Amino acid sequence: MSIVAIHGLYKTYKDALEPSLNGISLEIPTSIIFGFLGPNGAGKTTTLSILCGLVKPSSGKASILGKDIATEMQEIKQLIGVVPQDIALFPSLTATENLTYFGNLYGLKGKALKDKIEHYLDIFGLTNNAHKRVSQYSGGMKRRMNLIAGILHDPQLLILDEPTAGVDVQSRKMISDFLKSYNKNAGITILYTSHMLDEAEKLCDEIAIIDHGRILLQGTPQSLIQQQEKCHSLEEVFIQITGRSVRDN
Amino acid sequence: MWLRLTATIKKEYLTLSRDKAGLALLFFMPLTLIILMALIQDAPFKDYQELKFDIIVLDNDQKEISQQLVDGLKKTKKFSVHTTYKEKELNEVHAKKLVNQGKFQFAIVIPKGTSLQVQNNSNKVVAKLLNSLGMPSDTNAFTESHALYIEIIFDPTAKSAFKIAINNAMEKLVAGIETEMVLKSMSQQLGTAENDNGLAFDQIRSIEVKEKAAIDKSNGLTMITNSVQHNVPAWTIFAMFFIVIPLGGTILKEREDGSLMRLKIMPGSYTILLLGKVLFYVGVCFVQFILMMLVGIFTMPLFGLPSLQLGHSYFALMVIAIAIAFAATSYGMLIGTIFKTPSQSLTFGSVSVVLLSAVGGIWVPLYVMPLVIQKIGAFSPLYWGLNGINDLFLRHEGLLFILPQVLKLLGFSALCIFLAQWFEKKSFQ
Repeated sequence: MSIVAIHGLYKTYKDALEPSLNGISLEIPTSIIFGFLGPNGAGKTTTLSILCGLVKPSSGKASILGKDIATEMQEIKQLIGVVPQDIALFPSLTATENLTYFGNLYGLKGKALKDKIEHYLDIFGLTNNAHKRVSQYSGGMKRRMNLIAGILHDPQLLILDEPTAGVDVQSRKMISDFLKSYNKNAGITILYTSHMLDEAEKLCDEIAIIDHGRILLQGTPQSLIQQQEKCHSLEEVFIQITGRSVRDN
Repeated sequence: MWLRLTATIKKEYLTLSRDKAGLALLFFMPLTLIILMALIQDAPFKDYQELKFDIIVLDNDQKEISQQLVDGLKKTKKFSVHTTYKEKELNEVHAKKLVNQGKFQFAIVIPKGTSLQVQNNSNKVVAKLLNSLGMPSDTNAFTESHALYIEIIFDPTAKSAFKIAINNAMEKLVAGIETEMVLKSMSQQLGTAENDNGLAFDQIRSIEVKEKAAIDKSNGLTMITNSVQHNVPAWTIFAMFFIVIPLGGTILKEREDGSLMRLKIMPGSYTILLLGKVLFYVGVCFVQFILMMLVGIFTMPLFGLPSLQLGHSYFALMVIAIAIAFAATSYGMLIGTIFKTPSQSLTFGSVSVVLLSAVGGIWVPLYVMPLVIQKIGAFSPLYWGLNGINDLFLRHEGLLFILPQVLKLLGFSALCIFLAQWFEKKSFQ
């Protein structure tokens, strides 16, 4: 069964010369880690933004857990967790205050919320800094906090937009190890974008490569490598498919 | 819904309480502003009757009638009449210089021959009058006269209203002396002077002009017109509207740091989150209002100003204060939503509040402005707020009377929130 189903999705932003999404169709099976890869400006963030309800598609359909994004977005928002590309936290609040606020917005409160916050702060090694303002955190700490804010309400689908961008090796390993166990132990489906192709190759069960608003390839990392001639890694597949020219957006 | 609302209010409280500069801007600055503005605007606000002006009088005539003019000026008690400066007799050149330097508000120069001119003129008037009645007159002795002017030299910075008031006062004084002279001359011609020393100007006046308050004093209410009563509410409203700066800045900061995006991907209505923010800042505005009223009541007297009188309906005052707070806060939300950078928001926010206050009668009353500005000013939320408070403080009216102003302010607030939500929605498409 597909947790995410996208059919013929188009998006052209106002004043844009070209569409950001050019009729993409995609099915993501339940309980897997799905890598959504592509160069800058390929359409990854636009797709995720549509699935989160931040952007309206120009045309096409998409559903999450069988719920239509056009009509049932409020229900969908309760079922998904989102970890945006940018750090989306209140810098002047502490970790605990941030997470309490976000938990309250998901309807969580009291001891249950407190326990959950403590649990995740412990997992991500932030317990000692729980009462420190987020503005005083390092980049890696902020990334981990950003992830906790997305999973606090136990979503069925976790959407991550470059969750390990700009963090040190230790934090990156901590995040990817968590995502693996979170997927395996809780059966949570993870939709993930990254420019770290080696990380994606190890982490993802299935991958789609998108460019110029179109899905170019989809399959398991191994099958993609095997399909492409002279390719021994996902990075080589990616370069072969999307080209070597530098993308500025 | 309540959890989301209360959580948002708490979040706003925590955020603001850690922003020292924001707190100073919200509380310290407005309090300083109203004290300073009330002090600065106290003197121009006072009636001329309350003030005493230092003036120079140069009597180049030195006769009976010119002396009467000088005495008349002294009697009004509005003027402190000086004929010397640093123990030196003044002349016209010196007087002009001193007035131009701002050391005296104005100088009056009584020309030589004034008394003779007045005497001549009254004789002429009486002769004509008696001749027209077929009575002989003994006033053919008058000589041909030429125009004489009592000159008033004003400080170049003097306002037109001030000049008009002084001119009118002088005209009245001269007219009184001239009338008395005519009456005296007539009495002499009719041979009644020996009996009753003639008629005085005051004796022939049967109607005098007297000021009366429009409010009913029977229930113990009094009309209060002083600078504190006018300035404190006006600058309080102005300061409350300056919440657009920190509030607009907060919204832009949330957009920049990505936290606004997280709020938008969360379930539930975004309007509740906006409402939570609005409610918190309405509370802040209300606290500002109370503090500024307390300053008006307790601090102003420490600076030698009168204490602020709140009118008789505290409930109505609370209602109008909350309505102003809603209007100011919602306007801040709109500014923060429309503009994309803090500098845009800061510039537009502050300039627009200054403009709205200027056309809204905060600086000077709307009725003294050109008609076109009066028409524009009638749409300023600051004008509605000020009108409402003036209705309570000066007219001693109640809630029912100020209801139209309250509804306008709340309507403005609803429009701003609707537009803010619309712009926010549009920006994410």
